[in-house]
Amino acid sequence: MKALVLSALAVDEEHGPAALEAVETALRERGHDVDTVDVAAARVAPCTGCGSCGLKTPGRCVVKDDMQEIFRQIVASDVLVLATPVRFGSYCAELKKAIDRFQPLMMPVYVVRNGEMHFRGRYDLPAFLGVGLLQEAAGTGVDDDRTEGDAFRFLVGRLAVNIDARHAAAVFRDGDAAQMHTELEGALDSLELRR
Amino acid sequence: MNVLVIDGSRRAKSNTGTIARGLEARLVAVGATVDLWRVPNWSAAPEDLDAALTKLAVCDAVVLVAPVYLDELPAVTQRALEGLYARRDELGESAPRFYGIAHSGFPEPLQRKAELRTMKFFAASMGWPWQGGVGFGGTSPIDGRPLEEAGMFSKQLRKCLPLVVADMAAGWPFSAETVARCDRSPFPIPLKVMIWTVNARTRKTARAQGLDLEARVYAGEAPAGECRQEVGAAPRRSHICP
Repeated sequence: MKALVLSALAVDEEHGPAALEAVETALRERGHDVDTVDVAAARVAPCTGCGSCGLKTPGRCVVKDDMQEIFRQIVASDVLVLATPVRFGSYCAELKKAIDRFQPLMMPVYVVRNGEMHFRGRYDLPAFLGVGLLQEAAGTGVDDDRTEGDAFRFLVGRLAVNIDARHAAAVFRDGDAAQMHTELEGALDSLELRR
Repeated sequence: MNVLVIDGSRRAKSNTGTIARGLEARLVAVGATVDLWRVPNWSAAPEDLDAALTKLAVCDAVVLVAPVYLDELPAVTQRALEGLYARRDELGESAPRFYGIAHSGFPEPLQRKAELRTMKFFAASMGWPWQGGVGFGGTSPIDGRPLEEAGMFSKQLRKCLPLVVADMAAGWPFSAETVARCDRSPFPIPLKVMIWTVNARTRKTARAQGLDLEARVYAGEAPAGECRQEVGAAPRRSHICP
């Protein structure tokens, strides 16, 4: 079983390394070979919205950077983990840069999914786990971390609808090891990954 | 009223730019002073936010217009917001009213909900009063043309932007009526009929050009000549192309 972790957790120098270690350990304990790509360090350009992957070179992104190999790794994996510090209830920009490039994984034709209009999937994509690291520094004073975490969980569910994949979400708080472990176990159980 | 309109797209000929300029013109028409600022490139330096910070320090209202990429802000727009947040102390006591406009090719409001919520969290993080967000669906066919030249495809926007401007000019949050009217699907035919029509046209184009729409180019190993390189010096970086 292969697990691919696309991580922007390194953006959070304080809690990111421990959070990434927790994710990798949990996956290995369930028998996965884990490959981690630090998307903040990798060569990934922002999507230009050129549309080439639709009707010019169907299924192929024309931007020749690390995403070419990351696409292959995604398609070949059994579990895809997207791990990020939570920024305003969302992915941080470094991870979103990679997610924005997912369009070649979809076909340029539409289906109704979840009662909504979406692109048809091109591959049988892996189960997908979103991991969000809430940060004290980004506390809003209006919306507490629980609701920002809720926003992130909602977003993970929305991405799953977009890419037509099973999903789960884990939300970490400030590098609390026990809390991270509990969140991960619950999320991985819900994806029915073997122990 | 001083307003900063933020164009949240870096695409050339973008529908976001079309909406931002359409909003600008309508705000000017009701007497507002408007600055239009486009989010910088990914490779921009922190000082590329200086112009926005200067305007944010004196404006009464800000409206962020942004496309929806997989239910969220594009990465460059998210990066600009993160950059502004990092420099929020430079704004002193300034607290402009913050409005959001999200638009998408898909008609359903649910596909814009997460992005508008992110804008709300951003406003709260900055200490700015959130005035609500509106969404527009089915914007793809506008294809970057001015609203007045996009015919039926921009009809919804031309009808609703005056409501948006009226709320802003009055200093109010977006009203429930404004939100509901913007959210209406602009498509005059049932969704399944529209999907069948668009798909048929796409398949016809592909056949004419000899394209395989279902190509799975990333399944299996990379072909010879395509890069597949491990970078040993940086253990967290794997499979980096030269």
